[in-house]
Amino acid sequence: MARAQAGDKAAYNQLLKAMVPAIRALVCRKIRDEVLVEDVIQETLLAIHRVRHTYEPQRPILPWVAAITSARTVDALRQHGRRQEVQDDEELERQPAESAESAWDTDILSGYLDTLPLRQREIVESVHLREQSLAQTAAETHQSLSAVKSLLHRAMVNLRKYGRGHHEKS
Amino acid sequence: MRNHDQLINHLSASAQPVQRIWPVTWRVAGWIALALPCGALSSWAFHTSLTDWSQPGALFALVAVMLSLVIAGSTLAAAFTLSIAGRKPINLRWPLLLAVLWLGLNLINMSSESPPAGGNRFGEGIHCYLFMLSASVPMMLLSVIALQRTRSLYPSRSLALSGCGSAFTSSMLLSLCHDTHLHIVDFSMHLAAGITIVALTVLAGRRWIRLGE
Repeated sequence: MARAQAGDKAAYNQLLKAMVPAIRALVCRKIRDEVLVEDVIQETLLAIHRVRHTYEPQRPILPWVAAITSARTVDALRQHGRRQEVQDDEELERQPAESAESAWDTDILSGYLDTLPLRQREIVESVHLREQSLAQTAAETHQSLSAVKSLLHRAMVNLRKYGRGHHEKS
Repeated sequence: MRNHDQLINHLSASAQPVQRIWPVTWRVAGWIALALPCGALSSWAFHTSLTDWSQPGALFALVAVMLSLVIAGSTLAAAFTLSIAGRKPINLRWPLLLAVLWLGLNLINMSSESPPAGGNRFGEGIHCYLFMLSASVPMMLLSVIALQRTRSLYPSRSLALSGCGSAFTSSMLLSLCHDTHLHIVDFSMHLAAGITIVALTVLAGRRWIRLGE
């Protein structure tokens, strides 16, 4: 880290890569959602980069990394809690039926889906358009059930946001 | 598992040499050295005459001034330490004990025989309130700048502690141009100013010292 602070890019690159498994282990103690874990790792790496000048080389590095990771994890949980509008399983299972009832025009639907990142779009198409269960979707996309739920939740939040913006414009 | 190599490559490619932060004691000393003259200048409009240290109760007032400085230093050290990841926070038992002692000394000065009556006590209190607020403005700024350099994992707590530091420092400046005898309304306004300073520091600084910003 001392070399990284002095501007040694290769040492810094090596150090950050070596830190990732430790950060992941720390985050996994508090968060089970795989997608959120990866987001927190990314946030932690950015935070480490932002405050790398606060590390003192004569002190052990792990408490420093652990404190940053812990703070980022708590922040992520707090934000995730606020965004958690549709999280319970029943609600998620109920949504395909509701979606099927709505008579969206194909063009509008595809316009909405185009705004989503690829992974989220795949999940929405599988669950809401092909009406597959969450478990089937998880098996098909080689992801865990919680990762599918999380992606679906994010997709729904994004679609609502886009829908509101679209509605206000028109 | 997502691969973070792309982000890491980007971060390491943009990494420039950084200057490590000073030890906490140096940072506190630097803060006080800058804050005292800046506070004295910004509160210049509210200066009256200098304290007459030959008045009764001057000894207690002098000890209270010294205590204010020590408490300010301790709370600032606690704020700066807390803002750095992985550091063990300073135990606040001692500063708290000193603050109780400071309060006791002020209460003694309040209960002692009152000097000849005169002036509007509430008006004096308002004057003191404005003095402390104007003296603390550059101190708040210095605190936010100092904490912004390290960012803080606990922004509210760090700012509240540094706000206490500013409040005690401005109270110390006030004691240098204030009667040694205190009136209850007057002292209540001192306390109100201290609370306002802490609240303003937290409100004004939160956005700037958050780790995520």
